[in-house]
Amino acid sequence: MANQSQRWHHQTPRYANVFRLFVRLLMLLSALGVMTACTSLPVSPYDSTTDKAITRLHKQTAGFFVGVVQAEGCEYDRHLGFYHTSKVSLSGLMVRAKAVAYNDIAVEQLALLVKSFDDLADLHELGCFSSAQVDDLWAAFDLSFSAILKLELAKKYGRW
Amino acid sequence: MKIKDDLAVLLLAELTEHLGVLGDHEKRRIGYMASEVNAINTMLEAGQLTPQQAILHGQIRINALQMELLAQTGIDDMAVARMLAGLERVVRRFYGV
Repeated sequence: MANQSQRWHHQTPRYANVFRLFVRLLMLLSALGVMTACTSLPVSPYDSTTDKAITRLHKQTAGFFVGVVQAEGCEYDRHLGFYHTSKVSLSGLMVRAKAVAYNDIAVEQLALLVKSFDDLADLHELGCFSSAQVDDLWAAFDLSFSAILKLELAKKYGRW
Repeated sequence: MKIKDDLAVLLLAELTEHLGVLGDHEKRRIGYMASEVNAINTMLEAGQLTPQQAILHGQIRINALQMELLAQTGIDDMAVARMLAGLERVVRRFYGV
């Protein structure tokens, strides 16, 4: 009996060590599990078609701003083609963006861009743009296109 | 104990590197927004815009800034994901998991 008790006392620290090691391993695995779960934050992959379509629409918009600042032919009716083309392009972009999983941010950005084009059309219907107005609008649209491309290119290059 | 200290240093280095990137973005974002805040008011006061036009100009500006903020949010998410991946790599390397 005494022998057994002695042996138990000798073995206890070893069991305790094994138990402590087991608990540590469990904690480490849990931490790694949490990290891995957090690492997979839902971000959609880079889409080259969106990148190209946005770049094309940006060029069209820049062309529109260059043309609309001239006094002759500055009226809204003379630029209906631009508004129609951009609406079609944006619709295509939106359908594509919505079809991609985990793409909520890009969808929100495009919805805002659609709103901006609608506001631009409303503004144009009020009258021809002055050059100061064109400068302001051009800067705002440049910022909008840059924001969409910034996110898309960050996905591509993984740098920011 | 030595290993734990080294791990802490490496984790801290990884964290500061990524948090530095996020901090720079915040500064740039705030700087840009501050410089653009009065642009519409200036044009309105100068009589270059009617109030209705000013509202639409303002709306387009706000949309642009919201898009910029969304881009930064997405980029920050990616940066955090990358930071966590980096931390995970460090822990795995140290413990050989």
